[in-house]
Amino acid sequence: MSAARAAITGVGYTAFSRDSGRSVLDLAAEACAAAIDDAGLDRADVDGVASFSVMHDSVPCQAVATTLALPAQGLLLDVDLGGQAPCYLVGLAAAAIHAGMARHVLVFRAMNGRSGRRVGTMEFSGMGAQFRYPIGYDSYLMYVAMWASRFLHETGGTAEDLGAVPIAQRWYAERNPRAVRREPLDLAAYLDQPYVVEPYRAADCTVEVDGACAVVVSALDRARDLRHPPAVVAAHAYRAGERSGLDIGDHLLWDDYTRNYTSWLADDLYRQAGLGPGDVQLAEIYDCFSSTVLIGLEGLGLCGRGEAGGFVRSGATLLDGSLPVNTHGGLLAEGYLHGMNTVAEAALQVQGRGGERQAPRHEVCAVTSGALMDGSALILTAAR
Amino acid sequence: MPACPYCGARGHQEVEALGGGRVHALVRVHRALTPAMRGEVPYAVAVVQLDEGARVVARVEEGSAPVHIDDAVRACFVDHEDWTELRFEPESAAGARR
Repeated sequence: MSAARAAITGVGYTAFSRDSGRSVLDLAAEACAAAIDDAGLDRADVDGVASFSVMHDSVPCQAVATTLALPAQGLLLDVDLGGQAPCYLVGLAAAAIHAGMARHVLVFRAMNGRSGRRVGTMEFSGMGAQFRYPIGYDSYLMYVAMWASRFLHETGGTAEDLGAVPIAQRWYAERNPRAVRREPLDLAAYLDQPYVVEPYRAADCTVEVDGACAVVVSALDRARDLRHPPAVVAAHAYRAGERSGLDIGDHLLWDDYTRNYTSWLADDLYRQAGLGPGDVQLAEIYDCFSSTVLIGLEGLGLCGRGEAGGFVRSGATLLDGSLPVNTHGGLLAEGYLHGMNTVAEAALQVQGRGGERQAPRHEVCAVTSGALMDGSALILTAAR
Repeated sequence: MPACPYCGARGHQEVEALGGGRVHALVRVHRALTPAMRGEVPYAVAVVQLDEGARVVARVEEGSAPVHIDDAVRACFVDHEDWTELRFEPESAAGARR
């Protein structure tokens, strides 16, 4: 049985928009304040803040603590990471709580990701960048698409397998008022879309937004008396696989594009939780692009090798299926908060607050953050 | 890199690559993501496994026939104003010119 000592106790969001007209600090403060209120805590209870940014597109935790008039902080943690970070930071918050460094830690992501600095077309610095940009290998989208091409090739996957992911997730987005893409999507409409970067069409790609999302991670002994039932952090893991490269876009030394970091951390994750893949009742899988859902499902052992496409096409990931997946519509439809919203949705589901899109069985949820060489994951459970 | 990413040993050894390789993974860019590439679309970028073992990322000239994963390709060079770009073309196209 897991030795869990922390839980997610509250979540907070701003609206997601194309042009917020507000500062990133304002967005961050709104989402963080909402998460504190949602947990049923006072600001005076919070003694840690953690966040992440890409190429300085966010604000420091110190600024958020100051803006919210938080008391003295025992943990302020800013990391220079993208979508690999949300589960990692929740895990680090849980570890800090376990070490006695803090009791209630905010974890947030905030950005004007559409009207301000856009990660999709941002030029990443890094030692490998000088070899990629001049030849037109110049966006994160292309790096993930490159892996997708090999994954589909080796596993016999088709455009219909890839398209099944955004189609299934759009079904959830229709039931999520926060989602940016809510119009229905079927296979014919999907196949009708032109390629952006083959094998991806627009529906395979996340939608950039302005907004913020936050969760509160609390010591488990304090979490039990709060407003909502705790979403217990039963396991957390981060992995950078061997030869993860010089930077975020350097995958030349990674041997196997059909397996990402999830294959490296799955055993550890399940061992910590005292559970196996068969115990997972729903999953929120990081999806900056559609293929990462297929690779993630296989990496976590939730599907067999080469079976993820057929699994999603069968309807298994819908609400009445065997494993609901990305019940908020994912980053593909709800919006690109770099997976912070993926973690928040997982917490809502485990707490039974999913509303119209609530999974019927929601006691064990797997969550991931990241797409390629490195990333992180959680198993959240109802209190047992 | 100053050391071997497999064993950590410092230093390196140069191996002359003859230019042959195989497409390991491939994307085809239809919508340019940066202004500099707007006049180039559509274009293909591949991870090419060289016959000598190393992998490189480079554009592949497709010509009339599309290139697929596992196809044999051969190095070619494109001169720019102040640098030279390594690209690949299908082995069949390279062979026809020889």
